Amino acid sequence: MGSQNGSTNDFSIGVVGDGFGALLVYVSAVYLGFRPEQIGIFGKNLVPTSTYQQFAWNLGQTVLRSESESHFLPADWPTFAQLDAWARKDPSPLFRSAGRKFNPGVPEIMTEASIVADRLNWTDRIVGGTHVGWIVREPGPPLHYSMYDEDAQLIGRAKHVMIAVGHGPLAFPGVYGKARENPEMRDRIVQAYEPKQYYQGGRYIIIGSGIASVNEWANCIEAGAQCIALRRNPHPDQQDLNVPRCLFDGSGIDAFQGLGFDERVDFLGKALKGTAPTRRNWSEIIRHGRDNGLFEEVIGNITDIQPGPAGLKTRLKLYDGTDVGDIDVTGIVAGTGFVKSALALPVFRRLAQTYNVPVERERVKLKLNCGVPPLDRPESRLAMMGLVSNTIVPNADTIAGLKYQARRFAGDCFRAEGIKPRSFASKWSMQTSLARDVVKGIKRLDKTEQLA
Amino acid sequence: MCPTPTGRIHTRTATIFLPALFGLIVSLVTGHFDWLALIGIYYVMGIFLDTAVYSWLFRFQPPWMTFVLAIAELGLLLVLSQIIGNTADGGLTHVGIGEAIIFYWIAWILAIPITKVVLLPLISVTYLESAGEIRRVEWSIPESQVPLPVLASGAEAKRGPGPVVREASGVHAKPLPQLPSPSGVHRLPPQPGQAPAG
Repeated sequence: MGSQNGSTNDFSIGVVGDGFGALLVYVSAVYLGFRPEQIGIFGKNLVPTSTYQQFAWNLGQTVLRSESESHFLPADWPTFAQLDAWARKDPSPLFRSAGRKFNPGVPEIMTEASIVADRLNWTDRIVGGTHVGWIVREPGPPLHYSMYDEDAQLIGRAKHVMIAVGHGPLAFPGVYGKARENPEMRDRIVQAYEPKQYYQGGRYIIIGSGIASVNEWANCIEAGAQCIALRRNPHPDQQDLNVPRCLFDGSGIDAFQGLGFDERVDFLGKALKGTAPTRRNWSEIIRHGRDNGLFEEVIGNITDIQPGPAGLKTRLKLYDGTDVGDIDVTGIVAGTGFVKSALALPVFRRLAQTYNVPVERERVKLKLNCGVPPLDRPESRLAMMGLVSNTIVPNADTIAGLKYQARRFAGDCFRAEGIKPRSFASKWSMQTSLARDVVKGIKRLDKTEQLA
Repeated sequence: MCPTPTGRIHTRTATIFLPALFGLIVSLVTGHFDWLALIGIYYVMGIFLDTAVYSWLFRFQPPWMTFVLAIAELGLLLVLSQIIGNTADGGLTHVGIGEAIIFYWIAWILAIPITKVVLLPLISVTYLESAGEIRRVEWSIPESQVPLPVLASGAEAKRGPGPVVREASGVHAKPLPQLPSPSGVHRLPPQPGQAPAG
């Protein structure tokens, strides 16, 4: 159970989940000094980018909102803009990055993640090839956790566990959820993150004003369909990131963590409201759509959805109280993101039921080190990362936030296990050789067009 | 980055090593220490600017601003070195303006692109996300400083007696000798039949 790992399925660090968060924990731990065989990834994705890639494809997303430092190499130099510039012998990403206008392309960053995963033998670290259904605290000694699958079969054990299961299910709030459950209409209510197709001449209502929704506006107009952009929030931020920029820094996160739990939840409620980034290409497409009668933005809510001659008959009420009446539409696309309730994650729900993990306002009352009370101990950590932990790290649903959490969790495990730190020369060698391979990988790709 | 005042001081201090080494080498080669003095002035001026000016002037500092500030700091450094140089016995007489400018930019390249951009993120993996502070890879509020609710633990109550309590009770209880009163204030002299203390 210790650093030596008694059996093949005993690990010092176990990660429940197999996506971006898991990859970052793995990379960070190896960079600090853990051997790869001391880490187990309890999941089934042989490619850690596959879930994200599917969402990005469905969304038609071409660039990430992340900035240049948010990528999958263990340290922050070279930045992604530097890698991109070096790969293509083109300094423009550097200038863009200096002006905070650089956004990594989805193919480029997926390539990087795949290369890093390959180089560190990610597939060898996958344990069980199934999702974890249950996490059980074992008294030891030493204290550890056992992971069981959905059929209660033991998969493996780990002294420290990070729960990195990602988002809950897609959200269909209010009338959209009700309509989605109606077999007559369910195929016409889709989520931005689901596969979908717009048809020329159709009319679609796109809910939300975040980046997913704005992307869908552009996709809809480009298909030659009419887009009614329905914004529920009259005052969207112009901020281009999920949370105010300084909250990405330690200073911002320190200040955020200084607030009480309720204050943090209330703050997130305000900060994470729909954002309406202005991007050159999107602006042009939307202007073109508006000029050609294909786009209109309204602020209000749909109060009723029924089957209609065009597919759906919706009733729209504007923010000022005006009842617009019935509107026939081909479909509704909800850019309403994911269910934020921690209880929507089965593995966590069972953990909460078994061990009385405190949950308030459907969010886990995590410790300030993202530890899960009452199980988390310094000598045997149990922590959560990702969206469910944004009450502690406000940008926890971004690569930057995941990296922040992964590094600190790996640091805790490193200290608890008394691991010998990797020398500077070894860190340099690991970082630069990974960077070199990523550069080679990016070279093979067509350049993704920047949007700003 | 949104550097904190502490982050600015950490960064300024960490980035001065290579320029200082460079100044030392140039000083040894030329045989006078005005070059090293120039680095010293640059460092002190930088700390003053970081703490008294930049910290409140720029909350968020975009990367291009670093270059703008470098130009401004060059101007200030030249003015300061002239003032110091013109003071009686102020020194810095061996350095011309042109030489100082070239020296400054070499030192700046060593400090910013090489140390700050390349080396610091590798040495301190959380450097960028810790607002320029060189911290341990640790959470903002360490586990030891997280306030805990003062509540009796139900789990401990259900645990039952431990070895100390078990040994002190029951049929196998070890007889406990009578010892003097623990009170240091109201201690009584040894009573007849009582075992001596110590």
